[in-house]
Amino acid sequence: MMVPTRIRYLDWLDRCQLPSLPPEIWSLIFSYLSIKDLKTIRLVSKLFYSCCTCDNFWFNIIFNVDKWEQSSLSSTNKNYKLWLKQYTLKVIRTSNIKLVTSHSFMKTLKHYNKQLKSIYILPANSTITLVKSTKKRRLTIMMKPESPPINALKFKNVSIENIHHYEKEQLEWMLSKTVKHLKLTYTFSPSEPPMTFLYKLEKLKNLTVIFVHNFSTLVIGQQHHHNFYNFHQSFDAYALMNLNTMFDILQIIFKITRCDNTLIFSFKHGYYSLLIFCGWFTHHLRDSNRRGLTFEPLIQTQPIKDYILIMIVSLEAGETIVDHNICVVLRHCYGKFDVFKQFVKNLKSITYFDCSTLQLTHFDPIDTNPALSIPSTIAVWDISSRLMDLFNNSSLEQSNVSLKSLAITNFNLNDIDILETFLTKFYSLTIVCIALSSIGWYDPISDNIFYDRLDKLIEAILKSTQQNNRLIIHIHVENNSILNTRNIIDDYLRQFEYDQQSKIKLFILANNYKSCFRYETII
Amino acid sequence: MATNVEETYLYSSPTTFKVSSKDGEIFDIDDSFINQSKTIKNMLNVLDIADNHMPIPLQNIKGTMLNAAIVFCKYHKNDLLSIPDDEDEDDFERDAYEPRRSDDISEWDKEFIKQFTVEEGTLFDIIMAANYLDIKALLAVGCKTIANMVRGKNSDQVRQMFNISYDPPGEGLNTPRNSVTSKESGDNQLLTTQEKESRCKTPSPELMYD
Repeated sequence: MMVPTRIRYLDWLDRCQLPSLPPEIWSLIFSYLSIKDLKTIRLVSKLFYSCCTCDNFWFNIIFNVDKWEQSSLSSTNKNYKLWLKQYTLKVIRTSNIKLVTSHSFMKTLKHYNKQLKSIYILPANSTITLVKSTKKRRLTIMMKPESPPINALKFKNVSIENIHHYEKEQLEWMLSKTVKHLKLTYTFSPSEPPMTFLYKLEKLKNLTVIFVHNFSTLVIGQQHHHNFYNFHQSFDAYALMNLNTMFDILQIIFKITRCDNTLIFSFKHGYYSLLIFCGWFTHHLRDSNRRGLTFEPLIQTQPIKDYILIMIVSLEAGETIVDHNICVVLRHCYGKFDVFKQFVKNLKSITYFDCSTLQLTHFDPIDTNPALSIPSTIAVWDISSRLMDLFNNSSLEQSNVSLKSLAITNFNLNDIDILETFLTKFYSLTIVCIALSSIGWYDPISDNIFYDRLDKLIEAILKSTQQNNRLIIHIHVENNSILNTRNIIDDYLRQFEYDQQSKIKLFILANNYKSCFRYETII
Repeated sequence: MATNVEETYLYSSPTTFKVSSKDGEIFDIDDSFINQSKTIKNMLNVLDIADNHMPIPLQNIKGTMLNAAIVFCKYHKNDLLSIPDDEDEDDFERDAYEPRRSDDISEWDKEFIKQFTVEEGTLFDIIMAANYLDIKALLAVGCKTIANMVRGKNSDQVRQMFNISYDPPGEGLNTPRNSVTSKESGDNQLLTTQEKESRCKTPSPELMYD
């Protein structure tokens, strides 16, 4: 009597036949229905049930805890129980984190929402519109429960906002093994998360860690200011520094990924090129080999390839680096003069040196003539005029032949003399790239912007460099101040007619110097 | 004027192709169809068919459904741009659940979809075809129609409509295991391999979806 199995099988086949649509299409159909209809649809069959319990439907129901009275949120309240049974909750909005994370509250919630896998808790007055996600996910906040970890709750998605106020246990509690996606946002916290936390992060597999920088918190007090300039001013200095660092790193990453063949491989020991960031989100950088860098509101980079060893050292640690063919980027950081001097001395074989936005402090008051020695093997140099002055004082008389490309950011036209002396030290310069900091004056008659001493600058460059060499000069002028770029370039070309005949090429560009093509033409 | 331009365009560059359905029927398709069906569009890009004589095989679609889809596309060739993009629903401020609108089916579409029914399964077929061909408008019309049918009905009525059998707890499929196995226990040797397989697969409607 084999009939029962056979019948059951055929019966099953028969059942499967009629609603012959795949689950995703059923989901699509159900997305046209209201919650009330969904509740009845859930009862029809297991297929229908599974189709309409997927995230998409229930993500839009937000359990606003604040609207309930605290006493009614107990498991004995009938209304509350009934209400919980009706909905599959995913998002909870509350300002009372303590209540939400308490043991009993979660237990009740879990009891009535069996398939609850992840919970997103929104603070009551969260400003989350800044970050745009591609999926229907919400930025969330998750705080520590008052009691020890609740075993019944296994979270797959965890989001942490404002890691500024983190506590050690709180973070460790998050990192149960079930965590698949972790989102960290932190508002320019001055220090990193604790080491134990980071080690735990390392152990988790398939984890995407996203560091979100919460810009919105920076602009507190900007109500009094109206234009952009003042808006910028309202950042405190530290936050602004961090902001700039982030953008700089972004740009460097772009340069690396865009011209990795030219820039990285052309270094002799390209495999060990060091990129030194004086950053503060160091862990994030260390992870970039595996996961890429994430700048949540802006971009996610690919994992940075293996051959770039990303070392993160502070300026102090830079003293220990000797005898490597390295690439040093010091951006938007403060350093003591002594340390920097020692650091530069040790840089025997530096090829790329970016110190344009470095600010030095703690000058020795006795040393009236502070001087820095010029690295002998440097090929590309990004420098500011303040530092140029310091290098000018170098006692080293013999001239440097290795420097091929020089970039000067924020060049003030009053510093032409400094530039002139500086340029005399280098014989084989082929590219000079200057970004002017001062804004030119506007001539309403000719509808042009003029720079007072631009011609003098060009003359100075030509005078101090070797005329026989092939020389490319870029001068980057203020981006939005140029109304009629074409005319200006024409004017200056007329003024320096020899430009077209000789090997010297002059460009006056109105684009942003940071995206200058000098990086591709460097080597 | 507009129609003139279109006609001349069609005649000057013969952009018609042939497609063959599951049951071997061959149809001519033109721009209106190609533009609305992403699948065909991609296929043409990838396959790079030079001569129009080879029909493109569409093994998943019956001839009648393919014909209907072509008719639908011919009618809708001009309102390509008016299809709203449902992807962009990422509104953080929106709290309440708002289902998508399903009462905006045009008269022509209503008439068109009437020829397909749940009883014969043709409504599901046209949805599957639309899904396979990736014709957004047709898929939306089909789904909205089903959604409208389901709306306001209780679970028993829905079961009846889709002919879904229902076993209350303890009956039918949900009968306790013991009663079944005790009957079968003596007859294991008689089973053919095929039947053994079918036995191994525990019949369960859950298999459809995890």
